[in-house]
Amino acid sequence: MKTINKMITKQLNTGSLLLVGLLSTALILSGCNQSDDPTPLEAFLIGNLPADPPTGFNPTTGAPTGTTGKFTLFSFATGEPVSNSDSLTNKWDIGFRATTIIVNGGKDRKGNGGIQILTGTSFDQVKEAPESGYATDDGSNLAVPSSWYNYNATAKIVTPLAGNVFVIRTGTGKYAKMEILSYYLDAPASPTSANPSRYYTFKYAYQSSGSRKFE
Amino acid sequence: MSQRIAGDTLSTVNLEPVVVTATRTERSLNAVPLPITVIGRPTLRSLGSLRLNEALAEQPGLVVVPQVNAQGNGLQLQGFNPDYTLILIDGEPLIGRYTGSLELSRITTGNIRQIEVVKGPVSSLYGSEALAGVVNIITEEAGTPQATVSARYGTNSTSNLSLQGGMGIKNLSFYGFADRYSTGGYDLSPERFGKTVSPFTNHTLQSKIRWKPFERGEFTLSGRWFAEQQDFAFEVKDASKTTLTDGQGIIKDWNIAASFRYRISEQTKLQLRYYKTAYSTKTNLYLEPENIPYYRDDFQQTFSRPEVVLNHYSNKSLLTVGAGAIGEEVATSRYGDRSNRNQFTLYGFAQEEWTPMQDFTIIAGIRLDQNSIYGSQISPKLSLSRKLTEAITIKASSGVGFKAPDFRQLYFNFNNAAAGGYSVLGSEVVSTQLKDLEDANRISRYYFDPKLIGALKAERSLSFNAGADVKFSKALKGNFNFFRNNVGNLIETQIVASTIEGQNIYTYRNIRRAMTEGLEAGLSANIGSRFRIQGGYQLLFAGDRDVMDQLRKEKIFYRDPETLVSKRLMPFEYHGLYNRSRNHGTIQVFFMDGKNFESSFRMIYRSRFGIGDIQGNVQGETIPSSDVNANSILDRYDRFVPGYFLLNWSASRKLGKGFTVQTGIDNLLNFRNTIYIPNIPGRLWWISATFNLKSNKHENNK
Repeated sequence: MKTINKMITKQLNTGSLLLVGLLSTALILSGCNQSDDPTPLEAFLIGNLPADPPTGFNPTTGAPTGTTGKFTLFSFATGEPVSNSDSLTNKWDIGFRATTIIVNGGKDRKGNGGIQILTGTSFDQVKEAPESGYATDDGSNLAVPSSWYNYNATAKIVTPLAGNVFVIRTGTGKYAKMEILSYYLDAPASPTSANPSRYYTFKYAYQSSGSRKFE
Repeated sequence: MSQRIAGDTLSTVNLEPVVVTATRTERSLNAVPLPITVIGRPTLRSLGSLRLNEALAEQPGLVVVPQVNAQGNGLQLQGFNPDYTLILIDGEPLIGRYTGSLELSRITTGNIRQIEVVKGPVSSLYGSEALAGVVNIITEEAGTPQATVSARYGTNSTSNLSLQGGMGIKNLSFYGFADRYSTGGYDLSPERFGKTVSPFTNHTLQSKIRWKPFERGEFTLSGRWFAEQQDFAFEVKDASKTTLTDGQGIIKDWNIAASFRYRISEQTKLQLRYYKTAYSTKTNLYLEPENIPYYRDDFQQTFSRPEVVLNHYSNKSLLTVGAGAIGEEVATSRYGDRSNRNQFTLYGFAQEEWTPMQDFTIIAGIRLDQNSIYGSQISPKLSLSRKLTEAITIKASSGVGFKAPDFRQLYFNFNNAAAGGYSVLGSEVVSTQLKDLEDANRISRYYFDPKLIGALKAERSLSFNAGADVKFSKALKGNFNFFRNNVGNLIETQIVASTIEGQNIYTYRNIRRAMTEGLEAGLSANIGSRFRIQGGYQLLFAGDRDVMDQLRKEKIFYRDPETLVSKRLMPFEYHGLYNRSRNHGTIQVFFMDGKNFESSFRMIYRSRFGIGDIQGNVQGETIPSSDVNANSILDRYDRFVPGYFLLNWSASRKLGKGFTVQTGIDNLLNFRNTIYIPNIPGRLWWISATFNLKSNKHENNK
């Protein structure tokens, strides 16, 4: 992870986009040990995707300041953020703003998307997207419940829960799986409330063929 | 009468102590079929404990833990949080659970004759709160002719002065006690503003009068008054800023208890009791250096209870029946306004102690509580003991315990604007508050259907205890006890909604199930006439039963924080609930030369434990949670607070008639853990002098 962190930092420093690249080969090889198994899809890691981070804090109340209220939209097909001006298209699949996650499907969206969280499983264990069970955003009733993370109210720490794997039907009706790894800048091993938050690190795999199989 | 507390003396004559808490009648300790720890006056004196937390912390299986805000001292019993143990003074409940647990340092040991700790639920006699067990603090009786002055000074400018006296004139008996305790506090991180424990001073007054106007009846009246003032200086820190504050906290409590006992016949006794108590606390903090009001908090609680108890003795049985009513009232700024919130309980109980043959006792009891908020509770209990041989007595018991939802869980209306902005609403106010927010269009989304938030039910447990007392020889005694507690309806916070400003709104629900189980064992050996060695041990497993189910279904994972790789967690890798140590034990060595000199050397061990999200900040330090691998449970790959040893020593010498000096060092190894265990100060040295004007008769008992 140290090298990945470095890469994340490097990418940030150049101010460019966030695609960090392949996960360590060990991870992928571990999935290939049994020769009968089909090769899993390539997994990609995105580091430090900003999700409306504050620029400062109100000195009296401690409330965050400088937030825009805008979601950071993301496309699994390109592995890159999508401009907010494209929000009413099917170009994006998922959006992040603080701990709120939206999906490009539902009443107010133009995409064909949907999302569900599989609990008690792991990224590698999810080999096929379920046929049904995808929720969409309908007004204030969002598809992604707050239970995707644990909030420690005293330490004020958001922890994406291990064992939660998001399966996403994308804006164009393809499938992706995603595991959120960290909510903090540079994915520190033990974040504290002093670490800048609203920076997503996640792992994903995208099936461009339209099949539900992640292999 | 004077023999009843003599069993705890260091002499080798083993008189069994008499206990009252387990059955509400005086019983020899070994005749009671429940696990009980007794700490008598001689032991308290030998330990040199000034406050209740110091005395309890030296007992195996009794773990004194910081409270919710990482300050103070609460009692963990059989793996239960401090909220679940009832604390009584002379059989009457202590109140003031502002944050759930009772602050043990409120209680001085100066007037304590005996402390009885009953493990396992005793709701069948005492109702709510007696779910994990009961601690009963029995103070000195009126009438014992004595006068004692005691003074002590030690590290941190801690001083204590205590006076007590008793006398009897014909059918009137008196007892009076006055105590002043003052400490400069202590500072575990001196590089930071303020102290870990701020300086405080408190005073305790107590008096008792007993009047026996005729042979069959007696009146008693007792009162206690306590006041404490603490001078705070805090560094309040969050993501954006650090604020220096100072101010004052005041705690007051008082109680009055009146009783009339009447012997109707040789077989039947009647007891009428009335008890009233009040507790209040007030905190004012100011921003420094400008001295601007920053934080204000107050809390007032009253509790009153009339009760009638009837005992009927016959050849092989003792029947105890009782009934009473409890009125409780709370007013605090944290409930939105300062108006009074009330609840009212009616209760009745019956207990039959049956001895069908010598050496065999069965006790069956049941209590019914009818409450204006949580409805009715039925708490049965069955226990038995059998003396198998002269050397071995086996004991077993099973019972139901409960804890009523507290005022905070019912009426909390607290908006923590500073700490990230969240609100906590009690179950009785959450619906109307949510509706107001909705009408003002301030709810952005619901996480939980508010219609499903019902009235809170009492938390309940079903418990089993089984064990034996074994006399290996005249000088060597042991005991052990297995326990298992299944707890349901545990009340937890539940996120309900968030506002358009992004503030989360929480309420309370009966969500969790848990269990605690383990083994308690003790061994006591007299070596020659001068040494006594005592050892005690508790093995404890405490877990969330829903988590345990999920683990069995292979549904729980953890994410390595370094590699970010997720793996499945095996059931045996789960450590259990936060703040529980697998092992806890004590070893105590007492020495007396038979005349004037006594000394004791004591060790306490607590194994590693985890810290969850229930801890606050100490001196502005952030407390990292033990869970570092993203599954919000404690497992073997998480970061634990290391286990520790404490060593304490004391010695005393009688210099002349009634005059004794004593000195001691607590925490000889100077163990400290600034962030996780702020309630353990470093090494403490102290010296005291006691003068007994008229020597206490039962302490000289041999």
